Amino acid sequence: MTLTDDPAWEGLLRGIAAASVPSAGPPGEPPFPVGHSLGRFELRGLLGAGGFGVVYRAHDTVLGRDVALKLPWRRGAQASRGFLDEARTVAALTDPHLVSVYDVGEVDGFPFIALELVQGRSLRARLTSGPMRANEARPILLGVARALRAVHARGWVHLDVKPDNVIVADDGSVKLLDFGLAHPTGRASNVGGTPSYAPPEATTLTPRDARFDTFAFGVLGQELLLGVRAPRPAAELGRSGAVGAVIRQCLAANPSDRPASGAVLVQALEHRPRPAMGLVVAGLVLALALVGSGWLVQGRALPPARQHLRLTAQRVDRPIHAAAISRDGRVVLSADTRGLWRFDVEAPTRLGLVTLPEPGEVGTVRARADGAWAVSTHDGGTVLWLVDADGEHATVVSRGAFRMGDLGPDGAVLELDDTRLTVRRAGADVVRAASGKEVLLYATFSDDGRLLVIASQRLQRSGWLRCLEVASATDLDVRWTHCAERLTQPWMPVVASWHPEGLAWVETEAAGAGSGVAIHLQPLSSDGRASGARRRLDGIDEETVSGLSIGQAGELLTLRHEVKRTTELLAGTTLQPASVEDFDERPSAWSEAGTLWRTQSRARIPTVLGTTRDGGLRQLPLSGWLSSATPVDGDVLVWTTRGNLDGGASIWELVRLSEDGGREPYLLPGVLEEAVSLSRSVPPRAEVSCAHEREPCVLGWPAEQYEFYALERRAPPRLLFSVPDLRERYGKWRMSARGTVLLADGRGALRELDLSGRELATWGVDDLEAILAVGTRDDDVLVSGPARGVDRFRLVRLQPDGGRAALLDDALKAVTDIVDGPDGGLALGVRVIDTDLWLSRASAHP
Amino acid sequence: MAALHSSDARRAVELALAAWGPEIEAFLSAVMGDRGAGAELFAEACADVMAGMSTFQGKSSFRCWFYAVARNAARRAMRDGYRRKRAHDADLGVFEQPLRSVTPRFVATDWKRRLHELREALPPDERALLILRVDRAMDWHEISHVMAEEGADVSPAALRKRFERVKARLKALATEDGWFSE
Repeated sequence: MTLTDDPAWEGLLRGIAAASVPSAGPPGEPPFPVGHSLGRFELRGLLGAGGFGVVYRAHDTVLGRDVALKLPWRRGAQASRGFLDEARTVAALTDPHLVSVYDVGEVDGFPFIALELVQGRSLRARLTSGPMRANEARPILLGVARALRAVHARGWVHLDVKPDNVIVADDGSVKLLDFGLAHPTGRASNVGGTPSYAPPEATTLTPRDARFDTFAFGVLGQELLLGVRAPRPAAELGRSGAVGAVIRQCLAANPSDRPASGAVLVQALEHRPRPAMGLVVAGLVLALALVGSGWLVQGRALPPARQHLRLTAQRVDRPIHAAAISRDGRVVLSADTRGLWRFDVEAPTRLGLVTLPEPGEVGTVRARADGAWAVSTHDGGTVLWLVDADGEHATVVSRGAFRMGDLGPDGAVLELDDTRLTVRRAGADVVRAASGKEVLLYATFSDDGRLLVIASQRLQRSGWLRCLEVASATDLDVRWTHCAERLTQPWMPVVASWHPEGLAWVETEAAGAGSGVAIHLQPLSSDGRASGARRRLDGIDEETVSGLSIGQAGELLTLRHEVKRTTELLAGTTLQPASVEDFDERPSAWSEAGTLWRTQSRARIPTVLGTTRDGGLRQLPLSGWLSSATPVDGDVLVWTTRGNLDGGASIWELVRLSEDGGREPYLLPGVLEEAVSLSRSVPPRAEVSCAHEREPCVLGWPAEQYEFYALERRAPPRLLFSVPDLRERYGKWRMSARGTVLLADGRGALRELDLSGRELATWGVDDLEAILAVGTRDDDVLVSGPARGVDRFRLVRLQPDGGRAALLDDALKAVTDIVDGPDGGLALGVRVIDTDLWLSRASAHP
Repeated sequence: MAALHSSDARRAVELALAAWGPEIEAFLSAVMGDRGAGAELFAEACADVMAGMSTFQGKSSFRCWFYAVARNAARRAMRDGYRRKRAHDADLGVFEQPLRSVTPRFVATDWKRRLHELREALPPDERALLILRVDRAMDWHEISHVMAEEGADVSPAALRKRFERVKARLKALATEDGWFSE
């Protein structure tokens, strides 16, 4: 084929068409000499260089620590997401066996990643002195396996496990590096890692999963034990005992024959396996055996592997707020602040944004049996949308003042408000009004539209009770009821799904039974009546579940978009973990007499707990839900809410509890002259803070503006000042020891005001996206929040002279409570906050 | 390619990948002007091919169909603001390419870089047209199939005219860049 009659031009044209896309940056001279100061970093040495760029040993002059500073070869040109992706991947992973990302940013036009500086040498360097004995290799392999466990547990595959990427620190600890190739689990890819460590499937288009890494781990292990780098097990592995057996298993050509994840490797290496009776194969005792999908370790079958799939990588300040799984378990629809997204669970990949023709915040998402979705949005009123299965079209089904809706297969429309359930059919509406102390939470049609499941909450003397009912969709006649105090928690939506046998739902396990929820099943007949005994299908080690579906093969699929699994309480001058009675405790105040007060909501009777200096425990039981406890003159002021926290009828009060059981209400501001009120749909987020445990305390009250009152016993509250903007989610304030108000307005600004509202100072917190907690320590201010530009949480100490220091820095753990204590002590409430959307899948249980 | 006619979609895609994967990935990289984006879109295109195997009707060659699917993936990515997203990332800080697919310095010569920059001066659609016609030596009917918008083929005659304009534009750029005086 001739393109032109000019041979020179034709040659050039062919050259242009065939030119390859150049890669990012040719290695050359490092961009800066050692000794150069780059922004706040002093470059003190060169640690390494490669295609990705250069790694310096550097000193962070602001935070006063040594770091490994990774820079690209050049500034500017050929922006690549890879560098940022790697930073985000590692920043989202926290484990002692992974190198931590301290910071990501840009300095003098250069993007940088500041990493933990590990003193040690690479495993590759160690290998130059020859292979190791099994007992020498085992702790190193265990370290790598633990690193992989952390990576896999977060839904990632490393894809480049090799001795060059493992560092054995001087203290003997092991760290895995380099996440430049890491992929989300399950994503099809042609990335093959380093060829000599890659499994056979690396040359095919298969979704990359954890078994890609366990194969590379096998190659690495064999190299450690035998000094041989080969993609198949050598016979000599048999001489390396149990470790050799694990490595042999890793090198299986068929992925399904390999250990399924880093967690399985850790278990296999931690528990020195004993030979199973009579299981002797060709002289080699195989102590590990696959039984179904579970492994036999020490003769004990592990539970079937639950597959956890991370669907999103959300920024910490941009969480998912509603999600549902399609009835066939293949698609997930989720909402964040940017809109409504569809995910293909099998790929897994984001399929695209679902565009609704009108603005509004998505409130609820429900999957229908026909593959379409019922979505409720709020923007003044509520709109119920029917979104078709491929997310292309959305049509309005209903508009009104309801909270959630559903559409039956016969066209019937369900509208649910706190106090009223309406099923609309042509010409005949059926209504159920909530009884006096009942709030309706949730309702949906069954697949055939003949039944409804209705969830409600009823106020009782001891607190509230949640109930599930199955009723006829035509006359709302109730056929089955189940009530339990632990039918999920107030911060958790009711989670139920129709099951081929009846109704499945999620219920919180009792306090003290560990962190977790159970999935129960009630077999039902076609008319909705119980047709068998209720049974527990599964238990999940997660506190929060936001969606449940039964897949086509009967597997249980659960969805969560926020983990509230653990509260850590760190206390004392060195912030040591403190013991807690239950995992949901939050430190609230630390009195000058030395009692550390915590609130606990998961117990049957929510309690304020105080641990005294001598280790004694004081308990002040309450009904309702607690937000804070503030010591004042030897008593404790507690803000409590009873009823429904998500909306609907609620009762709130501010009471003063004394140790002898005394209970005295305080008067509240404004129109609420009664100490106890029953009205608004959302309980006010009021806060109390007292300087030096003396009255007058200050009450922060969310009215039209956020109002601050001086609060004294038996006296009406006195308005001090008000501020226009203290946003619900991130607005925080706290009294300082010097009697001023420290106010984080939700936009990242932190101001200090006197009690007339006059601004005394502003504190610079530009490096935080938002402020989650404010506290004081002598003249300094402590603030915590997600760091700007990198998905990590920080606790920063700010000094009046502008000095600052990072006290804590973590990918998942956010400090949510900062409590200043006597004798230089500090108590911190730490929550694991995971804003991503996760799907977990387990095979059907009998 | 018996697998193409059997129900084993995964096997068929693997075979197609082995046969045409590198050229299609290179095509996507060139259209997007970025290897990372090309690799990402290639993975998407492979998944699309696997998902859409049952819709392959044999009206074109499988290779041509694979190109069409890849082209759609690129078009979708551009429509979905891939560029915008990358520009946004660049605002956050300009981040360089990590370990993957680094060309050694001695291969990525200035000469090749300059050829690449000439092609980069064209819009993505014209880059695709140039590569398919000149480097992949497709006939106009095949190109029309690959470049089809939402299933409606672009006429071969229109493509031919457009190609002439692309050539003229490239020649002007090359002249300006001093190629013909060297």
